[in-house]
Amino acid sequence: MVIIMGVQYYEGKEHRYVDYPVMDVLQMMGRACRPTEDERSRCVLMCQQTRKDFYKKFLAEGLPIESHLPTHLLHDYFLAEIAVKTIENKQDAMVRGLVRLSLRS
Amino acid sequence: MDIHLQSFTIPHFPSLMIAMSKPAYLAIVEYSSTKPVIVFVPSRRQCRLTVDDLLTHCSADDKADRFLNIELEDLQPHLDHIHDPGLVETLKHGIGYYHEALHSQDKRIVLRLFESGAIQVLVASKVRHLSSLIDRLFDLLLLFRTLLGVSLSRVTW
Repeated sequence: MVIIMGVQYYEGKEHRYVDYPVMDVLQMMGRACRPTEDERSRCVLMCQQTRKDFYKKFLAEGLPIESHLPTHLLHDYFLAEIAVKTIENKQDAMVRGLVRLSLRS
Repeated sequence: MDIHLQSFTIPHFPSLMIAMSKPAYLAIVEYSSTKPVIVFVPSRRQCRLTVDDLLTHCSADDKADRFLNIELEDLQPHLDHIHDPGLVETLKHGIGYYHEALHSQDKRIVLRLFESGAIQVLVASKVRHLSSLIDRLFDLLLLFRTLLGVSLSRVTW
C-alpha cells in the first residue's frame, strides 16, 4: 500500500508551495503493487479540499494529451530544418511552424 | 487498484502534515495491517517528523512495536552499521525513513530491511525533479527524432 501525504512541496527557488507534477503522483502510486506478490493494491491520497475534484477527475478519466514543440528549443528546431533544406523560404517556415507547433488528442 | 482520496481544509502546511498523520496511521492499520506500506512526504525533514507522529500513534494504541516483524536481537547487527542515530531509534520500532541525504550505507540497510519485511513501514521523501528530468529527456528525444526523421526523409527523396 502507498500513502501519499500531501501533494504539495516547498519550492525553495520560488518561495512557495507547488503541487507535485502528476507524473510523480502516478510514479508513487505505481509503487503500491509488487507484480508477483500482490493481488491487489491500495493507495491513499491526501490532498487539499480544493484539489480533490482535480485528482478525482484526473484519476478517473486521465488528462487530455497535448503535444507541442518546446518553445525554448524552437530556434534549434528551425535551424535543423533549414540545415537540411526542408525550410527554404519564409512561406515554408510559416507552414511548418503552424503544422508542428501543437497538437491535442 | 483501490484509490482512497482524503481531503483536508487546513491551509497552514506544518499543521496540515500533523493532521494527516493520524488518518495515515489509521489507513495503515485498517487497509494494510500486515503488508508493507510506503508513505510519501513532501520533504526530507518531514520524513523524521512523520515517523515520530506515526510512532506516537502506535504507542497511544499500546502497540509500540506493531510494525516490527523480527526480534530486536536479529535486528541489532544491522543497526550497528547505521550512521544516523535517529534512524536507529525508529527502526527499532519497525518504521524506517528514506531520503536523498542519508548515508549510502544507511539507505541500503533500510531498503533491505523493508524489502525483506523486517520493518513494515517506510516513510520516503518525494523524489524531487524526477519528472522535470523526464521532461528534459523527452525534449532531447524529440529533437533527435525530428533531426533524424527529417534527414531520413531527405535521404529517401
